[in-house]
Amino acid sequence: MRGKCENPPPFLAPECFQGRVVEGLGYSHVAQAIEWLARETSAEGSGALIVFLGFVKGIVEGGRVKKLLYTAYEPYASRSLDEIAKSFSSRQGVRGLVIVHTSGEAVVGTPTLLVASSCLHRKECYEATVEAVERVKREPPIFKLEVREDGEYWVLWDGRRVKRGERPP
Amino acid sequence: MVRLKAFGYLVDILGWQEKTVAKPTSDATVAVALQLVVGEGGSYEWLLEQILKGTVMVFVNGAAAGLDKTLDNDDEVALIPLPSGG
Repeated sequence: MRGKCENPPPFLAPECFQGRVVEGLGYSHVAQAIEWLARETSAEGSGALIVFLGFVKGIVEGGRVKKLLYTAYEPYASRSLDEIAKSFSSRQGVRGLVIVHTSGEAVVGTPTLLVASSCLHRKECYEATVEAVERVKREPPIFKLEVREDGEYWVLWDGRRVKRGERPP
Repeated sequence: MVRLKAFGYLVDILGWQEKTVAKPTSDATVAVALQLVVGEGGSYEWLLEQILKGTVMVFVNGAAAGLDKTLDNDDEVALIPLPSGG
């Protein structure tokens, strides 16, 4: 049985399964989304959220990171995130799944990606959250520039870095 | 007019984020538009190579498309490297 998820925080829609890009994702967004999803899905029997939270790491390849700059090809990036979330709406035991990805500047320690699933049983949530995270890393047209003390680097799809202005090998 | 957008590292390599170009013929394709905007020479050939090997995708109005897709006025062509979100 699928219920409604109403009265969302201002940056979300009244849907239990949704994904979108939010410029300048912060910890207040994360807290609001988690609290809202737990509250709205608890009436349908959910008793746990499994949350993945990506945030900016401070050291990469031995170099200190200052910030990341994310660009997204909108509206297609948000549509892709939303499609990923909604693909779980008929998954057994999953009562809600929310994906929020940042865009713009993100300094070290700040959140970049929130994936939260709410389920009847934790096993279904572990699987749903992990699967959703892997799809977010592959599918939406979102791009990441790493600004480090030793230069600026585009992060490629396979995790390699290429110095800004150079062609990938 | 056709609008072209570049994303990710392509912005730096091509030197632009967005360009518009007039269709030279009624049946102009994505390949023709790229040729007009990117120009002949190293960058164009390199870009074609990336598209053909799948590390750069071409989208027209949000849908994946090939180099041989015929363009209409007001179409938006996006050059998208394989994503690096998350």
